[in-house]
Amino acid sequence: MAGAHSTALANLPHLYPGLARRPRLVAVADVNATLANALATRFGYERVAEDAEAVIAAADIDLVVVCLPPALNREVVLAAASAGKHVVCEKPMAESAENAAIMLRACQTAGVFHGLGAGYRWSPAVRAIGHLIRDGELGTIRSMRASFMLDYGADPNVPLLWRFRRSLSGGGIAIDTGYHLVDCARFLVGEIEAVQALTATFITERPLPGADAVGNRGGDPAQTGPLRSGSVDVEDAAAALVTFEGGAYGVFETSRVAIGKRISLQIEVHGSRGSAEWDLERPDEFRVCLPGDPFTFGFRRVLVNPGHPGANELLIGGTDGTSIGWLGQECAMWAEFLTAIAAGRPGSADFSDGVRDSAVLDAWYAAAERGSRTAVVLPAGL
Amino acid sequence: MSDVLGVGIIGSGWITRAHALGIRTLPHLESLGRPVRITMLAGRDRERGQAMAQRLEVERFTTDWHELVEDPAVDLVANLTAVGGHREATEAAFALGKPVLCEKPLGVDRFESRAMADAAAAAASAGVQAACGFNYRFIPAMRLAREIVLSGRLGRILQFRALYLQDYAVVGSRRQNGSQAVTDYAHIVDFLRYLGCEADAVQATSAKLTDGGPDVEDAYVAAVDLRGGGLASLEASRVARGWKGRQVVEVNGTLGSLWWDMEDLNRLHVFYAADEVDGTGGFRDVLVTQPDHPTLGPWWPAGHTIGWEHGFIHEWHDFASAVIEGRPIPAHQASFEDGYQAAVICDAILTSAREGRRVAIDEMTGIAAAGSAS
Repeated sequence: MAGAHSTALANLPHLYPGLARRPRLVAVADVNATLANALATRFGYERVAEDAEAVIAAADIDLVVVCLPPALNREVVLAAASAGKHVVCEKPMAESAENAAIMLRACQTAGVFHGLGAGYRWSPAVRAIGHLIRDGELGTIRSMRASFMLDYGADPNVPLLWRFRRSLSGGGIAIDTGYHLVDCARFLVGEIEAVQALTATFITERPLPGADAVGNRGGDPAQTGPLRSGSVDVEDAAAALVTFEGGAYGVFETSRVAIGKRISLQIEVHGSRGSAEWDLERPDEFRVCLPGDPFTFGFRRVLVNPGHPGANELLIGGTDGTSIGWLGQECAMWAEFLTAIAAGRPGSADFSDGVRDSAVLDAWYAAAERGSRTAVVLPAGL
Repeated sequence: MSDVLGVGIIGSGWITRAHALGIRTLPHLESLGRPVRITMLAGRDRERGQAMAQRLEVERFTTDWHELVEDPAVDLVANLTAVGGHREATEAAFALGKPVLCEKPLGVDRFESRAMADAAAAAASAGVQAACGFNYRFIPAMRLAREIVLSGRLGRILQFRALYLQDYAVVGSRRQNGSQAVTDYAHIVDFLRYLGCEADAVQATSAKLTDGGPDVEDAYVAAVDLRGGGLASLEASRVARGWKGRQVVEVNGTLGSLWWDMEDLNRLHVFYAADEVDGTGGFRDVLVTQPDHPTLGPWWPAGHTIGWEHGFIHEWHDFASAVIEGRPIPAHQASFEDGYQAAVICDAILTSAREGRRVAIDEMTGIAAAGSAS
């Protein structure tokens, strides 16, 4: 994700020439020095910092982007906020709503900007569906179906990376990609009241990763000597039935062992007047069914066009049909964050969203554990 | 004439099964007033023909089509044999006052097709019907496409394009029978006219892309100037690896567009320029399965799809009911005149590809044709 944010930030001035504050890529830090050096060279960071503390302490840095395994975010965010730095934190912000709330309060107390890196709500097609919903075009929303299916964990030889270890990840696929379903659901339909859920783990032992492991790439296990393995303590797949304030319900499913699904995010929203749907595999179009002539009733395939919110700057070909791609949503998010910082206002996806997203995930896990419907409870004072 | 409308089928190839299925499904629809039965089958190859007759539970079989045409239990002739066998048997049936449904392509070329269309016109004046077997016209999505085009909702048609891609000539063991890709895929030529366009001139190229076998083209591409100023393109191939039945037809008008793909034949994609407000313009994905869509009234509740064979059922429904009620075939059914018009365009494509020049449709008709007819 650090590479994705860097690419987006590097492209931002070209896409948004009127930006009030242009980003400058100053420093990058990583426990893996090779990675940090590669990132700095590739995106033109001015220097590689010793560690996170050095980034936070630097006088020429105004904003810190935190892209760590979820359990490591809190410490860095709290330090950055107390040093008066603006913070953008990749999702999931924390392993629990309680920890997310601590991060939110720290930023509020310090008076710094806080942005949540939940990319899909910035996809122009998803935003367009959000506008259709808020304008009442789909009527009263009755249901939402959303799935996020992947297969990066389907091979049992994929090593025990941080995503498979609760101490770093805070959970399995629900907190990883189920989080996106929750965030998109809240963005599109509204707040979630209660959750019924299940989780499942299919591969319980995995080989230990090589020393050069990065992200979902496990490196060479042989480097660690004789092949050893460790226990997976988080789920491979998860499903949830949720109820929204206002009476709609949602059906969510996510998995990292769905063979053939490299990254398949699909969203459908059905209302009293019409329906809309989106598929990440075709990110720059959405389908909408609205009332009309009964003879040609049906879903229309709508290409994202310059009239859609946030799309004009990203359609560098100047017209619909030229496609934006996944990177575009990150660019749109950063344009909004930098505009908000310049204007001294909150970002339109901030840590309070992170707290609410995490509260739903807490309920998802609790419901799966208890086997019964569980209310979403926000931390005290929110 | 017996109460039963007896159908005699000439030809025992695979298309005979499709027509037989169509005929035998007629009772599922509204009553036509008379039961329609296949009373006799004719085929040149006795073994193959008898096996087909047995399979279709047709009691009587002959290797001599004359016998079938003349048989008193045959009221109507389905001429489903290879194109070389179309003219003689069809004209023999007309001479006995028997209606004929003849498979496409109608004749071996435009001259033979013209003669057959003239024979059909003479038969029509005696109240005898004739139809040419362009089955795809009866797919509900294409019936709807035609209604939309003719209603003017797409405005003036500027462009038409059609593809028909298959790979059967390079897959498996199906042998070439010497048929030509241009006339084999005459369906897309017919669709051009079915959807309201008329050809003015053709530029084409074609190629034999298989090894061995008869020296005929396996693929062609054609650019067509339309009367009134539009443009069309046609492309067909039987060596396009991976495609089994990619028949795509698209029309672009001043006010909208539509397209259809046989591989997803229940869907018609329709675009109306008037939808382009509030950012929700786009092709509508119309699932053509509603009871109020063409041909679907007697079928399933909305959303339950129909298949490829549906076209044959309605081809026979419309032809048999015209015969039973003693009226002309409906305008959406291909007449022998339509079969002739398709042959004219196919001949223009073949001539252009052979001679490497733009061929005017007028050159293929009228005076020039009369001089060179054999």
